[in-house]
Amino acid sequence: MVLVFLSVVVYSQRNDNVKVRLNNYTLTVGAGWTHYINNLQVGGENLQNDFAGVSVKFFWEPEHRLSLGLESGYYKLFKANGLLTDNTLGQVDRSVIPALVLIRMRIIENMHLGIGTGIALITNKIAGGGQKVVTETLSLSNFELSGAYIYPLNKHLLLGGEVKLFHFGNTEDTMYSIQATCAVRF
Amino acid sequence: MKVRNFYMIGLLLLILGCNKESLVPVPDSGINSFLKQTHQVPESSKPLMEGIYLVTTNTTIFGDTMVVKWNHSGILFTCKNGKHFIMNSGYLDSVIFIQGYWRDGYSDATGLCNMYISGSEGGNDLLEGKSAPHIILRGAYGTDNAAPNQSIILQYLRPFSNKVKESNFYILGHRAGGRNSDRLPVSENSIAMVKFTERLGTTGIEVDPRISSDGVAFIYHDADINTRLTQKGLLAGDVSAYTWTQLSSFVRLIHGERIPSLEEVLTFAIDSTELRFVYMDMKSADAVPVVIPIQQRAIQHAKDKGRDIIILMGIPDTDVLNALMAYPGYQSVPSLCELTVDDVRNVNAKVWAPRWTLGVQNDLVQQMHTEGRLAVCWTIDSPNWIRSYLDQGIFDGLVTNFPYVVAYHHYIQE
Repeated sequence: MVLVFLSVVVYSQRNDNVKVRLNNYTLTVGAGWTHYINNLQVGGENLQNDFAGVSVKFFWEPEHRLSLGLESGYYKLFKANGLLTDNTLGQVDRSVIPALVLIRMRIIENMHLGIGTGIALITNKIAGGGQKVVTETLSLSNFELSGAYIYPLNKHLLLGGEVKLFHFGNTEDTMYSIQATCAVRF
Repeated sequence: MKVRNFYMIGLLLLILGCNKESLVPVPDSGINSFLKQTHQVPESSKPLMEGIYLVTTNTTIFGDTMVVKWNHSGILFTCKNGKHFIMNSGYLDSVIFIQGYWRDGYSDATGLCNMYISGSEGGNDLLEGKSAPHIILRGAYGTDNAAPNQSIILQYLRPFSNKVKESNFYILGHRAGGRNSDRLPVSENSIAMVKFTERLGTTGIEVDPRISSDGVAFIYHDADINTRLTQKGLLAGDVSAYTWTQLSSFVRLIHGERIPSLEEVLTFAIDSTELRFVYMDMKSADAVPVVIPIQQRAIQHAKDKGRDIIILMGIPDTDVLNALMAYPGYQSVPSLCELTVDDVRNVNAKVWAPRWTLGVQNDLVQQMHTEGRLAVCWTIDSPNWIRSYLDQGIFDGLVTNFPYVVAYHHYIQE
């Protein structure tokens, strides 16, 4: 993915005739489908790994190609049931709130690629087996790769779609998401 | 240096840094192992085989001497450079057969090995319980799962010295025998490791007790559930936040074992091994009042079984020290203190266990001996330092991730 990104960056160093006003700020919200890539070695049999997720991004667009931003959101990674040693059923779910710094680049008109890194708060909940337990883990090594199509309806309102892949290093969880986005530029 | 080279080195370090710890496959001689057709070597023959052997072939790989030592489960051949052979044995007629695998503690090299002692080269005498001064072990070793094809010959040089035979030195396996990063075939701090550890030359173990949220003491090193210690599973975060039922249901150690409770580990060590020392390196002060009754029951169980085993509560920091000193009758709790010798005296610890980087500290160790206490040093892994501590120090034991290296340097002493 990184190689693809770099290749596209090199390709995009051509003359560009698109006229874009400089030094904007945009606030983007997104919502859509998320899928957790099930790489569990234990307990992955009865796993629900498709959920809805939401994201929010704030971008500073200082020049016509590159934007710098912050992203957060809420994603449920999985929900699972499993038999406990006391023969009762345990229910586990894991969710994540990332807080990432993003660099986004417009490749061709309305098309953008982005990479991001930052922290993520991973919450694990289990019910059954004695008591309900909630643990929170701060994951420090995480990354995101994304591709977005952003269509300007007018000077201030933009609609689009985005595909993104997240990896959370502490728990080695990977997920992707396809979202519809709505942005306000000011 | 050119900037490009700088980036290349950075990229290389990044790639290497991201490598997962590799697990070394344990070669398997298969279900048709020849040893299944043999008889068990008599107990009386085993000490007669023990001693120092000259390596007469392939000395560049294994060095020029090996220590041969029986253990509860088999026989260990250990070399100066960290290579060692984990072997089983049997005999047919007058020939003693030895089969197993070798591995290198400092790399991922491993392979199968077959050896034998013919009747005329010591087999007859050994099986009759007579000492055999001219034992010759002949055989071959291989690489990975390939059939052994490189010749190896060992020639008996001498028995262990009286100094070694008379010493009561403890070789203590860190995290029950070795860390996951040491590429062992079983997980650190597991029952499987307690079962395996003697094959590496240990005579005692260090384990890491914690408590679950419902007050069950269990063995696990880190504070969180992570993929260094466990297979990727449903639980994450603070391991002590979960109940024992949740942990034992949903967490598997890196090689698939369940997290063991402290009680299971102590019972197994007493009932199913010949280990003589258990050092419980307390990972939380909260666990102290939970662990003490378990320790007392285990000591009583060992007494009932006639087992000569020391079971000690480790005191790694002042939090645990204060928690222990808040316990009624704390001076009668058998303990091992890693802090100062004054702390050792205050808590009446049986053992002082300083960090190895503090040096051999013979004067303080001698003071401990004078007071009837033992002293062990942790956690020492470098072959040169191990040798130096055995030569210059007067410790009663060493905690190590490489017990076969300590075993070599201990048993070869004259």
